[in-house]
Amino acid sequence: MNDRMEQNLFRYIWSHSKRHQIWILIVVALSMPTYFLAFDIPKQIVNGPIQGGGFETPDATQKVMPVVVSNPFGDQSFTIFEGFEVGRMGALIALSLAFLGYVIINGWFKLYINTYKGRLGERMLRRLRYQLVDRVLRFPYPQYKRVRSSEIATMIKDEVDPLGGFIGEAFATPAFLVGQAGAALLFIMLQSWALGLVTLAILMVQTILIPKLRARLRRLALQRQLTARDLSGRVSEIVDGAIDIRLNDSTNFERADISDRLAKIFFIRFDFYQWKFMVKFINNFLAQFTPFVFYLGGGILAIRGSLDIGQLVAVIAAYKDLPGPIKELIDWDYQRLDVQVKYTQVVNAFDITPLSPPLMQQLQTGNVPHLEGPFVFRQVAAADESGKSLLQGLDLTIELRDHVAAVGATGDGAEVVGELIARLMSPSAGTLNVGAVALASLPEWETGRRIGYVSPEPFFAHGTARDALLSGLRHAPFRPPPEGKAMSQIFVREATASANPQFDRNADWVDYEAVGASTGEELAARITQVLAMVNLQEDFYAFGLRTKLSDATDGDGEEMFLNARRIFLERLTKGDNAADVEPFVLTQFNTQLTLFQNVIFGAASSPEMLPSEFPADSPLWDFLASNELDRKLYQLGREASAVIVDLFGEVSDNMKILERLDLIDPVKLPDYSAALGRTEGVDFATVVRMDQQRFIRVALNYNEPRHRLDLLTEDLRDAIVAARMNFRENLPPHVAAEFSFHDPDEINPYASLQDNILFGRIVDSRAGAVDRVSALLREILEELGLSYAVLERGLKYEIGSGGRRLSLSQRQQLGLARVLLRRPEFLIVNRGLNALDNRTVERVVRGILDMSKSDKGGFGVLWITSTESQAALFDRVLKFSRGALISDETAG
Amino acid sequence: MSLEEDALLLAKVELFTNVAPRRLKLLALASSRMLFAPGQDLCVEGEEGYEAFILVSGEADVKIKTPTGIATVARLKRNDIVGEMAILRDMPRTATVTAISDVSTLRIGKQDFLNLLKEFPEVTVEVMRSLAERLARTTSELANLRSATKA
Repeated sequence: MNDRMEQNLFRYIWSHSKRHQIWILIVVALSMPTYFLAFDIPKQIVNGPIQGGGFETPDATQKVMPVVVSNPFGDQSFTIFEGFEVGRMGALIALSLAFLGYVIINGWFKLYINTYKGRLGERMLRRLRYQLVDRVLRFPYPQYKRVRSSEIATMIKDEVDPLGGFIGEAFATPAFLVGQAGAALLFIMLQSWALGLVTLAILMVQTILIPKLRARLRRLALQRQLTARDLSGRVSEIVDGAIDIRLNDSTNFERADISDRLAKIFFIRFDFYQWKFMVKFINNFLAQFTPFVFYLGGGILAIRGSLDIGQLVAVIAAYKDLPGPIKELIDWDYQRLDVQVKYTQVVNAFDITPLSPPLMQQLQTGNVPHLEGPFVFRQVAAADESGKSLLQGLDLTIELRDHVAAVGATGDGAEVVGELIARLMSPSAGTLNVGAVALASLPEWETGRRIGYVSPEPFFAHGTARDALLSGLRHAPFRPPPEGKAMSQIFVREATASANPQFDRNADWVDYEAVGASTGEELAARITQVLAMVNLQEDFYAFGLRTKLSDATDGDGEEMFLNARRIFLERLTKGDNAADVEPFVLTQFNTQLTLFQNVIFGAASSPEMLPSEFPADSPLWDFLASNELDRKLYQLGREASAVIVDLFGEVSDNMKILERLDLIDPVKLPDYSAALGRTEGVDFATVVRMDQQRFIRVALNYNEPRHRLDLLTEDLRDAIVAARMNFRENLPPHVAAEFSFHDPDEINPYASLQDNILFGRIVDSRAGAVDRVSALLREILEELGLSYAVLERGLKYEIGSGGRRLSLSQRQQLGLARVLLRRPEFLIVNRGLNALDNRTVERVVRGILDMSKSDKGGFGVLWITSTESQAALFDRVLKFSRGALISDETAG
Repeated sequence: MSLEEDALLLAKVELFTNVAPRRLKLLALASSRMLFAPGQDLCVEGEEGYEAFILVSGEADVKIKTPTGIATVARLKRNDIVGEMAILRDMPRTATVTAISDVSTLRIGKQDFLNLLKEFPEVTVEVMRSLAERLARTTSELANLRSATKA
């Protein structure tokens, strides 16, 4: 199959839309007669009923709207229809109505043609865009390192966009315009040979000269496109590399570079405009030159009597319709050249060989065959892009169920073995077979399910952790979409019309069979198992406990969590470590909470309601002012600020230790320092409101066990508990709606799951309290069958674009979990956990090895690492050095 | 239990004896108080450790595994430090330390300590000096021991 892209835009359009283009040409042809007839009507109206031609007597009648085919080159004509017999007034009405009728018919044709063209163009655009993305998915692997993603995106998104508009116009528009212009010209010819010839002559000049002038515009447009694409690539490089640029103080070079590029773009664009308006000027001049001839020449003919005034009016009216089509035709021609250039540009960028053939990626819903036989390397060599040898003369057999470690420093060749089996690169010499067949001959839909490959930098699309985990399982639409969510007929029809696949995005794409799960519960169990194996379960569990209860939509969990709270309290108080949690008691100050949390004694609906954020005119300030609480808070806040400014004042601003400084935003330290100076020895009442609030905010974030400045007095505690009551009872409804208060018998929707179950806070200073409480919590949630519900909440954590909201080690763990979840027959981990500490990695390796022996049929593992102690866990150890296998030992 | 107190406590630790009090206050701020009940382990031999503890009150036993069983080798009291090596390098704990009464400690996290060193090189120099003194002492002890065994 020819997998090249068509280079010629017209051939591309024609081959994919012949039928439609022909149909539209037919419709255009059909629209012509009425279009032509409409020209003649104004003349008839003026000459006939209005000026009284043929109505010399009041009761004279005439036949209007005869259908006559006349021969412009002779006098004879054929009368097809004699016309209606009417009086002068009747003639005026009939002719005017006829004019209106033509207008409507012409308008309708235009509407139909435009709609049809629009749909045709959009379909072709969709087809082209889809084709381009499809090709990106089939690029040879090394190509991904060469292309800049933003350029590819720009091409698919922006550069092909004008093609959509043009494709519908490709054949129909020139046909229509030529027809229109031809009709107008023919009409002028019929009225006056002389004027017709003049018009034709000027037209010839216009159609030959203008495109020539525009050739330069085209070249400029091309340059404009290329420079703009470069700019977009460069800007994205600056964004991606901004950190390195700044750390190396090379920002100014970037400034120079960008300025230089912008200058080039400026001059190209400016040149373009100058030339564009020059061409416009010439074109307009030529277009207006023709009426000049009409007025002068036609006027003379009319005065001489060889042309009647009605004819002249009709000629001028017809000419009114001539520059339009001509101008559009010239524009069309320009657009044609422009889009052809753009098309060629884009197509060349995607015309990469060898593309992976479509069959390799064919959708497979049925059973995918298992791998058969070992991986056999025979004299395999591999080289990088530059031709540098990475691996030479490798002879190696790895059985499908082998557990092999490949050890070597980066660049020594160990990772190349993994990349070859994963087919990220192909051997430059030698053969690599799986069983009897070449590995390269296996389709991607087989290797992509049977072989698992984990790199140190897994990619995750924007979405939740759960999406990321399941993203390795989206092989095919295995189950139909839920009722009413299926692709509608019109979607299917349009997909066919644009040669897009009819795969339903809303279907269930998850390959449960690969997971080894047939129900939701089994999948849940499997996810839990895999996360535990990569040591990620606790992380997501913790994410789950931190989620607000209001984040989930299912209301039925509430009762269960309330139940969990009761059981937790019961067990905690029965045990030896009841003091591990300081419970929420309405009438008591809770030392584990900040002062603000103690005041509201509940949770806020949004971060805007937190003390560092709420606005200066918030009604909350009034509440804090009662009983002089604000004065006390101000005192505390000011003292705390003084200590912090004293301790941290000279610390550089990128200092890590400042992370501890959550009372004051480090960048605002100088403001606080200044405020301290201003308020020195000034009574609270006379301190300006801004400074009052500044220090009160600090106090509200204060937490004695955490900040340990020894500032909390008994008096202040009492005042805060008193304010809490006032706050609960007297808050105006619109403010109260922003908070939900702790209540022993109610779930607090704005508080975290953990706060809700513990109904108190862990006393951090008790050694082991966190672990003991977590264990108790786990135990209870497990008993109540809520464990997975919590984990699932954690899995709803948005991991951000590329997983950036996770740490590198979490990303690596998640990447491994994703592959483990789909149970490959052979797992390759290419330094996939190198951000984790060695002990954790060893634990993970042991887990994987256990799983690989017990799991249905078992699976093979190739673990690529630089660390010997990890390799020691494997049956067979391959050592690589300088691109060669130097030892291959199997443990007895 | 306040910052001032903790800073004074830190000043009594050998490793920090020469460090300026203002810096110790910062370290104190970055540290936290931690309470152990009798029988609870501050650290366990062979496990990875990421923190050091300074005893504020109470007592704890240091125990190590020997071929003949577990032996108590020392008793720690106020101002003694546990696991200071762990905050300087990655290594498993060399002994188990168990509280024998209610023990209150000041806990220093490894990362907080390293951050302090990075920000204030003079603190690093002082810590190095303390370590060098200790090394000199250990070396001379070793020399004594060697000459004793030879003899």
